[in-house]
This record gives sequence, C-alpha cells and structure tokens, in this order.
Amino acid sequence: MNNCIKSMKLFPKALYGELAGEEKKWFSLHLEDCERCTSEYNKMAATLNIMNERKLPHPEDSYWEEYSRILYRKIDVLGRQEGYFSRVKDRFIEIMAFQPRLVYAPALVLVLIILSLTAGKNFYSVPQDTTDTVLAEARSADPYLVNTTMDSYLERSKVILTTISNFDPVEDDVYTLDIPGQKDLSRKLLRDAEMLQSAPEIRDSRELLKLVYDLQMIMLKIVEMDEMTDEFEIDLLKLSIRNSALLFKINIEQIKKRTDERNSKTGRETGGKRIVS
Amino acid sequence: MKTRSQLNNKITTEGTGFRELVRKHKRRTYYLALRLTGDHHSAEDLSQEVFIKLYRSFDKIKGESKLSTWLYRVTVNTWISSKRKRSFSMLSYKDNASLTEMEKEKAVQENMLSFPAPDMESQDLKDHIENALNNITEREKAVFILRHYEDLPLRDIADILKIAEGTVKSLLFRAVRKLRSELSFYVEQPNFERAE
Repeated sequence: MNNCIKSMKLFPKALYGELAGEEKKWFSLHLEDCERCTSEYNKMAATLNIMNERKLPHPEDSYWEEYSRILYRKIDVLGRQEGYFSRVKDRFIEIMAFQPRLVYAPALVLVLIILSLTAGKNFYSVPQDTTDTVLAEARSADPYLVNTTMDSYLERSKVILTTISNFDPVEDDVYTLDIPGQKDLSRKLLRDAEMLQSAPEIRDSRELLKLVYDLQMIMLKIVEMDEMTDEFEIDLLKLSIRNSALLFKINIEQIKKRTDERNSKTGRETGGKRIVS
Repeated sequence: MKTRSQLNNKITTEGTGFRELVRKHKRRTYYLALRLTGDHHSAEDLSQEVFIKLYRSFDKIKGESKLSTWLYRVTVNTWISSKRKRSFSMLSYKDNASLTEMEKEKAVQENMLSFPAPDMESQDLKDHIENALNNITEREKAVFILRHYEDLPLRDIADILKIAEGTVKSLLFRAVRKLRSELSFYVEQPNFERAE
C-alpha cells in the first residue's frame, strides 16, 4: 500500500518522462509487480494521448501584422486617456503648490485630533489586562458562568477546527479561511481557556482540563499564524488537529453533557410523579 | 504612457525595444492564451492585455531571460482573474429576475454543452476535450496546459506560478485524473492506448 502511494506521487513526473536514476528504476520495478498501479498509469497515459487530439485553429501569417497594428492602436488610445488624467493631476499639484494653506491647515487639524485621541485613551482608560484578570477570577468562582463559558468555548472551538479541517490548501484560496477573523476568535478563546483552567469544576475533571489545554495549544498556533501563511503551515495545523482527535473529543464532551442534563431532567420528572402517586 | 510614434524608443535595460519584444513573443503568448481560453477572439484580447501590462511595466524588466517567465505568469494570472470576474458577473446576472426567454434558452444550451449527453458516439471528440478542460479548475487547467502543451518542466511551472513543486504535481495529478474520468469513454477504447 505504501509503495502504491509512493508510486502515485511519481506519476506526474513519469507521465512526462521526467523520472531519472534510482527513482525511474524503482518506479518501473513497482509497475511490474503492481497490477493496480499499472492499470491506473496506463489509463492516465491514454488520457494524455487523447488530449493530443486537441486541435486549435492557427491564424494565417498575414494575421500577425494585423495583431500588432491592433495592439499599438490600443496602447495609443490608452496613452491618450492616461495623458489626460496625468495632466489633471499635474494641474492639481500645481494649484496646491501655490496655495500651501489648503494642504497644511487640514493636515494640522488632523494631527491635533489624533494626538488628543491618543492622549485621552492613554490617560483615562483602565488597563485591559487588569480588567480581564478581575473578570476571569470572578467568573471562575461562579459554577453557572463556568458551565456556560465551557459550552460556548467548546462550540466556538469546534467551528474554528472544522473550518481549518475542511480547508483544502490546493483547491481553496487562502482568503476563504479568513485568517484575521480566526485569529481574533482564537484570542478570545485563549482568554476563556485561562478562566476555565482556574475553575474548580474543570480542574476536577482530568479529561476536560486536558481538552482545554490541547485546544489552547491549537489556538496559540492560530494566533501566531502569519496572515500570508503557506499551504504547508495549514497542512501541519490540520495534521495536529487530526492527530489529537480534538473534534472527536469535543463531540464526546458535548454528548456527555447532554446525557447528564437529560438524566437529571428525567430524574426530576420521575421524582415528581412518585410524590403525586 | 507614450504615443505610437514613441513606441520604438521605449527600451529595456538590455536595450531591446518594445516592438522588437512584441514581434518575438506575440505568437507564443497568443498560443498560450488560445490554449487557455479555447477561442481566437478571447485569446487575442487576453494576449494583447498582457502586452499592455508589459508596456506599462517595461522599465522594470531586467532582462529578456526573465521576460518569458513573466509573460507566462501574467498570461495565466490575467486569464484566471478575467474568468473569475466573468463568473461573478454571470452569477449576479443569473440572480436577476429579468432574464428573457431567449437568454434562458441560450443558458440551457450552454449547460447542455458542458455536460456531455450519454450518447457519446454521436458527439465530436473535440467538443468532449473542450468540455473536459472546462470542467477542471483554473489552476489545474493552467498547470496541465503549461506541462502538456507548452512542454515546460514541473520545476519551471512552479517558478512561473510561484507555487511549490509539490503543489504543481498535485494539481497536474488531479487534472489528469479528472480528464480521465471525463473522457472515460475514449480512454477505454484500445486504439487510444499509449504504445509502450
């Protein structure tokens, strides 16, 4: 099986005669032994033979002069259009050069507004870290809040992990992954994870604590991800999500929680009936 | 941008004039565009758009050795972006409720062309090949055309498209597999089997 995968990786080179040396020898030997790979390879080679039948119309020699003539005419027209815009631009710059007040006065006002906004933000805002820590401590002490935070933490993590797992680096464009959005959400989830790790309910459960920790590692990787990340980096991230079976673990936790809730509800209802009877 | 009379004066750092470069590269650029688009008029428009882009960034071209790579890259990228723009405008067009009956009929006919009928013997092989090529993604088609028709090595294609060689291999593999399944009727016929 491993040899078949290895041989298929060599198909693109083999089909176009780009194999050489040891690789070529190994590939030929494998095809001699493997019927499945031979049949697959022959079908692909036959497909390329069929593709050679694609015949496109070839213009006559006289066309090429006409081609150049059309091209130069297009350049000429574009040149005239752009020339007009550049003349307008030059005129605008000329006017502004003689009227410096028109430029400097609005620029000065803008600088003053930015300075006052920056100063106001620095002097009058409460430091973010302190607020977050205080909030995290308060929330970790309340079992109801811990419970709801855990639910939303798992659900939102699931969304991120599913998006990344379903992303195909070869087929899809990287912008569809919305890396800035994923990074923002991951930052929020990292703050939630800190709170959850300090909550006694989570600390008591080894599986939950491990799950929160594993998710935290993935979120950290996402936060550190470059916005122009390459396919290989996303593939590695997908691999670590799959290897640690994170989506499976989240699903198990959610099922467990739902079962517990149903059991406690049924218990209450049965208890109620017993009192009535 | 300069006028037509000044075109000959525009030269690269190596001293080659713009007209000279057009003369040397117009056929190759046109044929790549023709293989990508499949029709003469689109190929003419696409290849001339590439030369207009070349004219605009002419002063930045370092040497003629890099020019063919640049032309390949710009042709492929311009084709992909124009195709995406067209499919986007088609989408908004299809959403429009004011589609006339004639246009609807035309859309149905085009749809029928892109999906070959079960009675394949009655259809031309050429149409099937064009349909098969239209049913693979733009990136797969670009890699396939550069390898199969332009005869460029995989490493050079990676260089042109600025992607990893592994990605080129995987795109080519996918393209050939999809083409195989689209053309399965012909692939199974013994007269098309490649002679060993």
